[in-house]
Amino acid sequence: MRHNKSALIGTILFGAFVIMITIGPIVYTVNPFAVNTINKLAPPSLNDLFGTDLLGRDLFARSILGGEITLYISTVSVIFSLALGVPLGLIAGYMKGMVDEVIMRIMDILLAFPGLVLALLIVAVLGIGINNAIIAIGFTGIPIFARIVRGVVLKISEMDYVEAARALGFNRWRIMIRHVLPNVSSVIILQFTLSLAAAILTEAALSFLGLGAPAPLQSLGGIVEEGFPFLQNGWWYAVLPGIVITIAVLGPNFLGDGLRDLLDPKLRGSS
Amino acid sequence: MLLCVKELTACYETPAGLVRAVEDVNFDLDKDDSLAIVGESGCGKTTLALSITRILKPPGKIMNGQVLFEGRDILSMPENELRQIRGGRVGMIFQQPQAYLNPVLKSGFQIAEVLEIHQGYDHQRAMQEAVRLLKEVGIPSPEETVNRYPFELSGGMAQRVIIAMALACSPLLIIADEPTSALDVTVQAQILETIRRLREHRHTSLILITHDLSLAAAACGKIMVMYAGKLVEAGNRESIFKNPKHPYTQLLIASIPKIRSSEEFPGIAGSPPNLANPPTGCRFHPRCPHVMDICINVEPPTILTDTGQRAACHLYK
Amino acid sequence: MALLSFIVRRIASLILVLLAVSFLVYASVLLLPGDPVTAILGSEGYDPIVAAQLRHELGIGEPLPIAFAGWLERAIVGDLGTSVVLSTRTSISTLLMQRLPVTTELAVLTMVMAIAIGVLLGIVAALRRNTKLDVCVSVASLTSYSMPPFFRGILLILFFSIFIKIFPSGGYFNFFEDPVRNLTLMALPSLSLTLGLTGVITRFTRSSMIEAMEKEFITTATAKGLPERLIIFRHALRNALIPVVTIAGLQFGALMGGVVITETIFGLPGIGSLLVQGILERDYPVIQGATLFVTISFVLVNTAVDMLYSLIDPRVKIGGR
Repeated sequence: MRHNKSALIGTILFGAFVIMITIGPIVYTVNPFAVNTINKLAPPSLNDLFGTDLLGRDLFARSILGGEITLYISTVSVIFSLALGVPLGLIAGYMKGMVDEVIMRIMDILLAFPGLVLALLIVAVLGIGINNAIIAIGFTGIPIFARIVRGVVLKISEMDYVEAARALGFNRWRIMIRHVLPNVSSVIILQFTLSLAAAILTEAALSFLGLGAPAPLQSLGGIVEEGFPFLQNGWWYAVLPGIVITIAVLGPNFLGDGLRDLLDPKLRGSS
Repeated sequence: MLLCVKELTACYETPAGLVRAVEDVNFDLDKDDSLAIVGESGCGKTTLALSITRILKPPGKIMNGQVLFEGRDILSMPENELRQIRGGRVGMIFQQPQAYLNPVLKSGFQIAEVLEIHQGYDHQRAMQEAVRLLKEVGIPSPEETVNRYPFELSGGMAQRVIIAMALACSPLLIIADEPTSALDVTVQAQILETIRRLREHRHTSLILITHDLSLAAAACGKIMVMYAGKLVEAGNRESIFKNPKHPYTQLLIASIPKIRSSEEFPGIAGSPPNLANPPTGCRFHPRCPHVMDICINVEPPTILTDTGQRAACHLYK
Repeated sequence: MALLSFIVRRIASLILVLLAVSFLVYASVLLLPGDPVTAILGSEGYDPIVAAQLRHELGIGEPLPIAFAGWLERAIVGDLGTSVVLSTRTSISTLLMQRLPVTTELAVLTMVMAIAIGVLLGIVAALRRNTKLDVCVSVASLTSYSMPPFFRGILLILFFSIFIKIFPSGGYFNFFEDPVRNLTLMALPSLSLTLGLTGVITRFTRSSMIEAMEKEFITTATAKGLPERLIIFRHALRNALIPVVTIAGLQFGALMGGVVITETIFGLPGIGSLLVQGILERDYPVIQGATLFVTISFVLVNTAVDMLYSLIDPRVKIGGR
């Protein structure tokens, strides 16, 4: 399956990001909190790979830390969306009727809010913080999981072989597990990668506005926000962490692309 | 001679290898002739049909041969000349009418298009002609149908629209690829009758592609049997049915269910070969009841038999 | 007529969603810890007059349905309350109206450019499938929408404001007063948004076109001897664009998010930056007003797209399912 170029590139990019934030601290032992005002706003060098910030702290070390926080918040948010969205989708697709209507209406209402705006509203109400950011981003991601899972369940339950199984008297639950679940899992995995990319973007936006993880544990977006005023004389401050974010998003996006190509021709049954 | 197909070879380039769908096929078709190309699914008949007007799309590729239409070779013609022939001199009808009509354009419009492009009609005149054509193909209320979208039509009606589209510019040849396979049996008969009537009236030649040998016999004077991409037998319907030469043809005819007979229903043992890796020698040899040693190694030449048809079989040397 | 019933159902659905959204926006204030008024104004030394007005506007103390109904009633006639923070206690609806032209201009410029460029690029990529051009376009599209909107803005400022001083990086001038100045100021903001949106539209148009070109009716069109131009634009594109329209509508939501960020970066006095300001200053009525406005715009745009969809796809217009 690795001959799929997109999936390969995605894995490499995302892998690079993950390696940076996991192995990074072991290899690059600079303290991200170490203030050194003499060396503030220094350009990238061998000592400070990303340069230093306004307090002289090493930006690469801060980016590693920021990357960890970005990944943490994004991943947990998507798991949150999944944990709520998938069961809702399963119930809606399986029960159909009134239950389906009500659940989908609620999803529609959630979807009526533009993504970032909903997250902003939730943060405005709950306050700034890592957990609140997770909840905010998580809520934005619930409807799509619900919709996709529901779609798969509906499609499967209409397939001839499910009707055949029912006609043969098989237990409803057994049908669900043996037929629905495998199909649903491939779709969920695909959506996980795409939602992860979206979550990282939303998290970056929130922290850029100062509404994400608070200092001193800012995520990458927060570091970019700090660096923005210094764009003229210290472009590395804002740009380099920004590139890291981009790589972190490109990874899952490419991966999702590759996965989608894998799933699609299978579904279409090419000759 | 209206159409001369010489040594036509077409393949599909797939990850699994080169699929040799049509191999070295030769046949002629004269004006007013009707030829049925018969064979199992996957024997290459549709590929052949698409190759004649060069609308075979990648991964399909025409490797070799000539298709002489009115003396000019379609396979080496420049694109703009070919476009004039398609729709203008040769019309095509396909298997699933709804799929082969554009769902967001009105039926009448799709017919009018051909007239506007090939005959230079303006839109109004083309639409009027479309109405007339719909009537000719047997649609009861053509003025209404002209404004309907394909999804609003039944299968039979949609197929008639396609027939009207194919006939619009009074082509010399119609190629119909399984035109009735997707339709109800009663509608099948009607559509075939419509095609027959129109053909007679307009003196259009017909190539009919089908897997149904009895349908072929009912509709066409000449029959060509294909197996695994190769032509195995060709001749008039009478000689083929009375004296089938090739073992495959014989088995095909034998497996036509006869209502009054209580004989057992014979089939043809085995299954069609993998065209990416076809059998050596005669491609039918693994399933042939008369197989000889030579059949395994040497491809049979096409021989003119005593009863007038051509057959590719070592039995008749 | 099937179309009429479709429209009626769609409008009923619209009203339901608008009500639900309004309610959620309204009620979100009540989720603040403790007394909402205190939470908003801070716990010490606030002006009792301001507090009383806020209490009235938010309907605090009244039963929820009545409070909501009152708030909604006032909102519909244009009274969204007053800003808590601004010393002039400006009416929120005034604020929104002042800032509306900025956001509208940004959104419209972006949408128009993105759709025009995106559809064109998508068609080209589809027709030149699997060539170097196609791969370049695909990768460029993917990269541009994988970048956070603020990063695109930052890079653009870096290149076109700092390194090569073509465009200014902030501020706003009314279009009708000075079109040229206005457009120079809007160039970078709308470009940063357009790059992202174009990426999405290009990819989607491409895959939609590829799918359309492989449909059976394209074989018929070829067999009819139609010129390639007609086959692509009249037959394939008409079918391919239908789902693209839907995606464009949905992307409007992402665009709204991007607008919020972009207005902040470029210092544009629009509704997006108002929302951010409101959140940072804990000015709840402003947050409610801006959120409501942006969300309702999104809902209306989506409904309009739905209606448009039903007009251009005859299968929906005439019946069937």
